[in-house]
Amino acid sequence: MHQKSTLEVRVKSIIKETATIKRFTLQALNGLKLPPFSGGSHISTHLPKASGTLERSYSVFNLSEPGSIEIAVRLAEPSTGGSEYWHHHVSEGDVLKVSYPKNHFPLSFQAKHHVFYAAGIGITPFLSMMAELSEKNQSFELHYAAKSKEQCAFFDFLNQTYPGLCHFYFSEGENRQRLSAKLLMDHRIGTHVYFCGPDKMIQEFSSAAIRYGYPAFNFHFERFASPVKKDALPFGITLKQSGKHLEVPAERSLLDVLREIGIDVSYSCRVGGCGTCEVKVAEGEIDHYDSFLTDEQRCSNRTMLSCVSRGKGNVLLDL
Amino acid sequence: MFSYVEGKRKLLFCTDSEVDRNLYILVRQALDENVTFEFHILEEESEESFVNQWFHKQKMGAYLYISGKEDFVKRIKDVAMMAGFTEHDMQSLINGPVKKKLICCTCHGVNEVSDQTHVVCVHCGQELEVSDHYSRRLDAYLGYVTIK
Repeated sequence: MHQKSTLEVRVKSIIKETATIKRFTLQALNGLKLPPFSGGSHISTHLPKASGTLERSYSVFNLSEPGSIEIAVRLAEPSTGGSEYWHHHVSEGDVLKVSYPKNHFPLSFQAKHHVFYAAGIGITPFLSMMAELSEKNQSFELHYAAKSKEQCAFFDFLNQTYPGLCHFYFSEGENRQRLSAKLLMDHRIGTHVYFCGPDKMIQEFSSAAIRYGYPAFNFHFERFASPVKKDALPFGITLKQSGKHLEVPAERSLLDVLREIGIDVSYSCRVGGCGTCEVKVAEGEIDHYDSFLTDEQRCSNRTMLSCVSRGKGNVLLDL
Repeated sequence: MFSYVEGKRKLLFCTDSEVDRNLYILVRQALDENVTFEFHILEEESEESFVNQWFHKQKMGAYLYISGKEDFVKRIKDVAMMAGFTEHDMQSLINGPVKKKLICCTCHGVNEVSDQTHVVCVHCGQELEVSDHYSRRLDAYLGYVTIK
């Protein structure tokens, strides 16, 4: 397992793709190649902030020379620390620690046709997916929404590399067009669709896919951040083995609280998408906010993803 | 038995016989719920190219039910899979006898079984239990060693 080990990489170049998006090309220190990765992969980057190491995940792609890994980071407003660090504290030549590539958003190998729906910086996982499909000569198309052509990262690259396969939707300026989930109605049988963008977009497209009769098997999505929890409440936990009782405050996750007291719960995506941080529940009710467990697992109240899901009142954990 | 799957935009029914009653209850429900459907009785093998075209023009949200004798169901299922249907967009029901291939776990030989639960491998004589462990690649079930 590569999950715990990290790689040291040097920032070879930084390219400003749009006013708010920078592309970072990472290389191995020893002149060798960085590990290869499959379409849809990401890396976790370990950012040495004064307040402690910050871990942030980014989709990887490579539009440069073989053996590099590239990421594109949009400066978020407000930033929770990651994008602010990449944009204002990382320079060419810097050395950083990153994880090996991991993939929680893989391509279907059964699809007859793949359709990608991207909004804004949500384009990044599709760059590696399209490269993989193009190499394998498989059928795909991209639908990509941005505010304007100027704010649409990789516009020229996509048009040149995949002519006729990319459709753009700009919400500002002349000829405004909205990326509509109604497009889902017109895909041939055997199509797999992939969504990446803000939570609202993923919600809209996922519910449209269900409404149009797509099996869950045929649609896939990746979130950048955990789903927004407007009214998170504190809750109590009791650990079955030690009988220890703890409070999880409203602004913190169960995963953070468990790790802080030395319980080594593994984790990866931290947005409820990969299932790594699952913990078993012995008693109590859970509010699930993940996109990993099945409905049946959620209803059982026997398991929860500690990064995003929360207890109601007090929960007895099988730990 | 078939189960009616809710929430599909269009249902496709096909059978090899006019007197096949397995689909009636599903058609009834589709009519009641005002769900678009197409129904074809396919009695000739030569209709394969029609079936191929029929499946290829379907959009996501279509759901297929295949009912008929074993050979028919297998043949139509293969055409459907090639067009892009998977087990998530279809159900099938076999009328009449079913022949299954059973792979011997000892000699890997192929045996033909119908509804027996235990057989003796015709190749090596091993007593086998017919499992529900199915291989899509081999279109066969695994025969386990019988534990007495």
